[in-house]
Formats: sequence, C-alpha cells, structure tokens
Amino acid sequence: MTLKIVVLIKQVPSYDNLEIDKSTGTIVRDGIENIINPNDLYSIELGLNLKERHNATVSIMTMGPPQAEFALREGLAMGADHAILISDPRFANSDTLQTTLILKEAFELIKDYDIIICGSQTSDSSTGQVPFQLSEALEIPLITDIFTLEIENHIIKCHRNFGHESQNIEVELPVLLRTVNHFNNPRYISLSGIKKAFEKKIQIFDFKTFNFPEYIDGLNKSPTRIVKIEKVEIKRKNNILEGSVNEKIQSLIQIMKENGINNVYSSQKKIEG
Amino acid sequence: MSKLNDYKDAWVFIEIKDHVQVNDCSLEILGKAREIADKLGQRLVGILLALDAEQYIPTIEEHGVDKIIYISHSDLKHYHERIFTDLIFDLIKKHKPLILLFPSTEASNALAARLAYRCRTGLVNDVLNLELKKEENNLLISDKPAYLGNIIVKITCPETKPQMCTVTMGIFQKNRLKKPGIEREKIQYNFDLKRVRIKIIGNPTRKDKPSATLSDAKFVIGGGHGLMLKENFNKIFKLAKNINGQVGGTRRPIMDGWMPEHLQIGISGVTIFPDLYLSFGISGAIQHIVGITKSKTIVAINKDPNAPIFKTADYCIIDDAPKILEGLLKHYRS
Amino acid sequence: MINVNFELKEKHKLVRRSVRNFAEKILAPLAPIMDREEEFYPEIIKEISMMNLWGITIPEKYGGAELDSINYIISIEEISRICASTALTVSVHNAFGAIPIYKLGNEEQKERFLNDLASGKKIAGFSWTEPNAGSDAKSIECMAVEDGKDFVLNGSKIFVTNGSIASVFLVGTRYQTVDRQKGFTLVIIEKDMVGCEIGPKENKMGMRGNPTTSLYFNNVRVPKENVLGKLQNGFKYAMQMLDFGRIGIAAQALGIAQAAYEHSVKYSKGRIQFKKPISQFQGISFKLAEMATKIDAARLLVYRAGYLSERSKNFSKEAAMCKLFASKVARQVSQEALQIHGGYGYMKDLPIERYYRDAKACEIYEGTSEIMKLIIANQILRGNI
Repeated sequence: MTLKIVVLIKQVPSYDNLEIDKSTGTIVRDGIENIINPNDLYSIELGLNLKERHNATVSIMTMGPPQAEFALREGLAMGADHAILISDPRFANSDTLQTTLILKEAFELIKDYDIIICGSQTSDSSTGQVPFQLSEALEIPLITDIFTLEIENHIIKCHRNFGHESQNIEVELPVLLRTVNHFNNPRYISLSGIKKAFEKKIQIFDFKTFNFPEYIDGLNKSPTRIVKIEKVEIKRKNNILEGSVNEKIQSLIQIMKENGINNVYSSQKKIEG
Repeated sequence: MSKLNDYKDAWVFIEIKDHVQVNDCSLEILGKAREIADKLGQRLVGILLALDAEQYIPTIEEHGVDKIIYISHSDLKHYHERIFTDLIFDLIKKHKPLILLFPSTEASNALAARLAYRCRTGLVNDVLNLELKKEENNLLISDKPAYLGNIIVKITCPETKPQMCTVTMGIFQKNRLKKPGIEREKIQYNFDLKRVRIKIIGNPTRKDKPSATLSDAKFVIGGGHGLMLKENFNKIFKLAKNINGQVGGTRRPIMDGWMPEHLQIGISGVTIFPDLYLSFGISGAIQHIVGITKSKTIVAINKDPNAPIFKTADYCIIDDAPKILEGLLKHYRS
Repeated sequence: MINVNFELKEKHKLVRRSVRNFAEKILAPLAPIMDREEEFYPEIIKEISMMNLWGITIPEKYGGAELDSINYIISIEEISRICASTALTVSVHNAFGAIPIYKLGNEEQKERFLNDLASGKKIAGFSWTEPNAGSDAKSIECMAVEDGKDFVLNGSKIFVTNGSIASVFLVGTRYQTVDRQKGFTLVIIEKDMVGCEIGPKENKMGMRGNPTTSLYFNNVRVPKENVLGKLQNGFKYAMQMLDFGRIGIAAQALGIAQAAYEHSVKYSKGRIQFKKPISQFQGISFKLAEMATKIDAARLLVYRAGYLSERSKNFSKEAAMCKLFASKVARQVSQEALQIHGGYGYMKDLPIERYYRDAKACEIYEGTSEIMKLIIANQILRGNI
C-alpha cells in the first residue's frame, strides 16, 4: 500500500537583503530572490523522511503566481516525486478563506491522499489559519507539535504536545500534520537532485481545472478587505546614557532594577512565563 | 440563507487558563466590546465552555456583559478542536452574532480559524485596534500589524458575518462594570465522543511549555557579532542565567557557532515580547528589529554610534559591548 | 562571433542557489581555518560527495550529476566565492581526474575508476609539472620503461594539486626512450602502488587549504592497462584537458572576485568617515563601478568558453582568453577590495587579504598568463581571428 503524501509549501521573498522603503514603510521588492518559506523545509524533510521509511510518494504543492514553479523545482530537487502548481489570475488576492476553498478543490482532484504536511507560519502571518481551516474543509484531523511519529497499518501513532499536555495519540489516516521549526534537519539540494528535478512533471491546476467554481474569486470573494495601509513611526526614547564606562553600567543597572531585575542575592522570586 | 441584517450582538469567547482562571485577555476584550455594544445599541455576550463553568461566571459578570451563554462539562476541561468548534458553531448558527472576538492565544487562534471556515467568513488575527462604523452598516474595522515593514493594515469584513477577530494581549483595558439583569443561558452539553478521531493512548503527562522559552520571556538578552569572541557571547548566557532571563541573538552568532539556531530573534526566528530587552553588539539590521519591536523597553549597547539599532532603542549606550557586559556580570553574580 | 543566450536557465539558477547554500553553510566556517592552518579538512570530502560535486558533468550511470559546462562553472564559482582552496580541489579533481577518464578511458578503466571518482570515494590529483618542466611542459623527465606486461616508472613531480588527499593521479610521462618531442603518455597511477610516495606539503602564499605536495616514483611497476588513451598521445590529451581545466580556474577566479566585490560594496556602505559612508565618495564608488564591470566582462568570457566547450572542437583560444582575463580581474578586484577596506582589510580577521593571496595563483597555475597569451597569439596567427 503506497502512502500518498502531499506537502504544502509557499514561496516567499528572501529575507537576506531586506530593505524598508522609508517613505511608505513597506518592503523594497526590487531584486529580491524568491525562496521556499524556510519553515516549509521542515515539512518537505518530514515527507521525504517518511518516504524513505515507508512505501510512499511525495508530492509538493503550492498556490501562487507562475514564478512559484521554481519553488516546486527546489522541492523536487530535494527528492519529491511530483509537484502541483495551483495558479490562476482568479486565485490572486485570496485571503485565507478563499485559499482554503481553493486548496479544497485541489485536494478533491488529488483524491486518496494519506498525509498532508504543512509548515508553521510566523505568528503574525494570517496564513497561520490555513492548516486549521483546511482541517475543517477536508474533515481530517490536524496534528501539530509532533516530536515522534510512526505509521503502521494506515494508522499514525505519535507523541505530541497539545496545550500543556504531552500525549501519545493514534489516528487513522488521512491526517494533516503541521511541523514545528527546527524539528529536523532539512537536506541540501544536491546536483543530481537538480538534474532529476527537471525531468519530473509539474502539474498545473487552474480555474479551468477546477471547472470554474463560481464561489472562487480571490479578488472579489475574499470576505476580508484591506481598506487602508498606514505607515507606523517607531517612536522610542533614544535616550543616550552618558558618562564613563562605570557610570553607564550603573545607569543600566538602574534601568534593569526599574524593570524588576534585582540582584539575585536579594531576590529568590522565580519569574513565571 | 439568512439575511445579513439578522446578525446582532457582540460576542466574546472567554478562554479559561489552566482550568483555574479566566484568561486576562478575554476580560480586556470585554472592555472594548462593551464600548462596541453600546455604540451598536445591542448586547455584549460572553461565551464560556469549561469544566464547572459556573465558577467563572461571577468574574465575567464583573466585566460588562449583558449575557453569558455557557456549557459546563468535564469534556470541556481542555480546549478540544472538535468539541469546542462543533458546540460554538451550533451557537453561532442559532444566535447569529454580528461580531465574534477571541483572545490571540494558541488555542483561540485555532478555534477561531476553524469557526471562520465553518461560517465562511473572514478572520483577522492579532488585531491592535477595533473601530465600529455604525453608519457603514455596523462595519468593524480592525488594525493588524504587517509582519514585514513598518505598516498597519486596516481590514474589514463587509459581506459576511460574523465579523471575527483575535485580539492581542495588553491592547485593551478591562472595564469593571456589572450590568443589572445579566442573562445567563446554560446549554446542555451534547456531544458524541465517537465523532472524535484522535485517540489518546494512555495518560497524557503534564508538560508545561517551559516558562523559560524565548518568546514568553520577560527579560531577554541578545548578542551579536559586536561581541567579537565566543567567550564574550558565553557571558551573555551567564548573565541571563543570573537574572532569570533568556538568551537570543542574530544570524552571525549562529554562523560562528556561538549560539544554536532556535535562539535567533527576528524575521527568520522568534518574535520576543519582553518587558526588557538588552542587546549587546547587535547592529540592528531590519531582519532582527522586526523581532524586537514588541519589547516594552529596549536598551542597545554598541560601540558604533551609527548602528541602526539605536533608532529602535529607548536607551543607548555607545560603548564596547564586552566591557559593559563584564561590568554587569560583576554586579549580577549567581 | 558566437551567439550566446544570455539568460540563465532555471536549472542554472537552481544550481547556483544550492551550491551557494552549501558553501555558505558548510564551507564558510572552515575556510578561514583551512587557510590559517594550511589544512584540508577530510570531513568535507563526504559533504562534497553528498552534493555530487566530485562528478559534476559525469553521466548519471557512472554516479555523476550529468550537468552541463555552465553548471560546472557555476558550481566552481560558488564554491570559490566562499573557499577558493576547496574550489581548486574540486575543479582539479573533475577536470584532471573524472572527466579525462570519462572521455579518454576505455570501458574497463571507467569501470575501475569512474564511479569512485564521481562519488568522491577516490580523489584525483594532477601531476605533470616537474622541477625543470613548468611552462616548458615538454621538458618533463619522468620516464616509463616498458617491461613485459607492465612498464616501470621513475621520476618526481612537484606542485601536485590534491597531492595528500588523492588516491588516483593522472601522470604525464615520457615513454620508453623515444625522442622527446613524441612519446608523452598519460598513465593512471594509484597512490598505493609500490614505489609511489607522496612528498611533503608545500607552504604556499594562497590556496593554503588545498593540499599541494610532491610525488615520487621509484621503480613503480604499473600495468599497461593503466595507460590512458593511445600510447604516446599524452601531450595532445593533456592540452585538451588543460583547455577545459582552464575554464574551471577562470570560474575559480570569478568566485574570488565576486566575494571581494560583494564585501567591498557592503563595507563601503557601512563605513562612515568624514560624516558619510565612504561609498558616497566617488573615489570609492568609481572603484566599485570598475570592479562590477570587470567581473561582468570576465563572467561573460568564462560562460562563453564553457558554452563553446560543448559545441566546438577547438575552443583553446576562448579558454585561454577567459583564464587570462578572469585571473587578472580576480587579482585586480581583490587588490582594490583590500584598498577599500583599508587597515581592516589588511588584518587577518577579515577574509579580504586571503582573497588577495588566493587570487594570485590563478594567473600562474594551469598555464601562466604568459602561456595564455602565447596560445591566443598562435590561434590568431594561424587564422583563427
């Protein structure tokens, strides 16, 4: 029984040479490279790892503009078997609900998937909603915060954290997994991986592939709308502490004291998180 | 398909922390939601699912609600993604709230996302402000910070209901107000556990998220390339230990092998929310700044007077970071 | 005029990105240490194997990555940008080990050596230069004398790149007592052959992370099956190998220049003197402009040579041109980088002085710049204008 694993990834701008446009407060996008979201590398690695341990195929899927195809090639170069690009002008400007509905269409076409893996998003990013919404849309359980997992007879057994509990759980496939950052060591892309990547197929799903569902329209049917973007000034005191080295140290100690840091000799209080 | 005009009232999900107390953020949200309800001329309703839920009602009633809808059962001791979602969705279908607010916690963000899908409505996470435009058909405008860039995005959800948000802690103020004639509606718990697919094997063990993780820490000390040597960076670990703080840093210390990857603060790493952040020898590239702006107080120590970090700091020490660090270590001995 | 497609294809972009990631994560921490201690770290052999960098252009069936010459250049460039010494190790192994055996070897030799070379299980070294035979390559004295089914090899080689880590050497030798002008033969020597001895490590100005040694042959008995290609055709083969090898050296030079240039841009934007970043002074910004232009020009020459190497029988002129130019650019750009960094650049804390030391080698080995000019001139005067 071959396990069918689908890894969801996202292409994002590289953060290496980031600059903020001082007048608008937004990122300067010129000359920025696009990469696989670093958090998604852990998902791909998990998928490939499962493929090595079990009889499985790994597909990488992403929703994005045509240039996202390069991210899929990178996933294929890591060792995935096949890739899907969900792309269409009608999918652009989708918020999380539209994104979920589009992914749902894609999974209805894919059928028979056993494991879907996605990465953790940064807490501020709204796409952190997608795994939960996808879990609802596909009616499959979502498992987060896993630290060990085994698959046997179509049942996944794992050890995970949930709230303040550490649990051993069992769930029958299909499931949706969300990886934790730094959970594994994503493999490098080797040259032979690259050679093979360009021999593998990338499937395209567009509006036509889904048979023109009328409830899908990123720009017009996303429930949330952006009405304004405002620049934020960082207002900090910028107070320069003057004096000799010792005087500066004393000033700093005073600031620390004001913030509740006492000399440990006098304070035995444990700070609660 | 119900009409949008059928939706009314502002609802706030009351999260229970550690099965002993009401989450503070929920109470803060009630404060703001009270204002919104008054502007709407409609009711403020608290939604409570818990074990022995009755014990929390007095606290909730002191924070401005007109009504509490609650369900009490032992299955509700902890957040459960199937049970909570199903029960609250039933309530939404029945009562059609205009606005539904949650605290921005791990559990509530998950719950809100699931409910938003079920209702086919929008959800805005981590809002920093809420404004009700009564004249625009009771439209709620929420402010959300963009992760990249120094901007605030104002978002609305005009066509679908309920209008849903999760709210960041510490944004709004609690309102100690007890309304007369608060309605309490108790719903009978009704859920078939057979519908739950995740089976827990054996007994779960308590595993508190170590209170000393970087993103929860009250005091954080960051180290950067300006520390020059690994032995200087090690002093950061020592100082942190002596003041019960946490250590973080930028990309360079990781590349130099002074610090493990998961302690990186910034775009590719962790966002911190401390009361006090001390940065030693960090120049302040935007990738790092993004992770520290939520600190209450920032102190930057760097010998380069032109280091960008000084623009983001409350207190600036233009001096040799290792020297200042050494001085602090002499004071904060273990 | 050769029509070159200037757009790098997706595959090339992916190769650049992957090798760059690899170099930045794995090689970057080691590069300064290898230079300082003059040690090649054998642990990285395995890492390079996992990247398939030991057999970049070798077909998959022999364990290689089967990529084209442009990808070869990009790989060497990206490694060199972080560690020129490692780039030298990898490019010499490919160009003077794996590729010649693939192109010139018979099936039996390919079977014996190619998989191990492509996988990095065996590393190859290059061995032609002798104390009295550098640019005058035909003056080698190393001698192989026929003896039954074998031949017996005597002589010594110096400046053997990869000397102490290689287990396979392609050695240029005279054969029997035939007249000097003919009779040069390429033979495959294995390190563990009796009489074969690896000499002490050279103490070099730059490329210190590459293990360069001498090689001594003392009555080494070698089976005739180890002759590569046709007997006495060695010189021609060596020249062909050098044509391609030079493109690798040029790629190496490109990487060094690129690193020096990138550092210079970053430094000059951050270094404040006279109340401004020094990049705002034309004295500095003009230097940056010239550096960028030269590197771009060099890159086009190198890529063009790589492109031709797969499509043309004779690309000696273009290969010599790209090595001549790129190596000069590397020297000039690294020197300017040192100047821009000022006192800080002179300190060993920064990699700038290492780039300067590493760059110089590119104008000397695998054919000095003077030899490159000879080759180009010969081609021109022969009618290849």
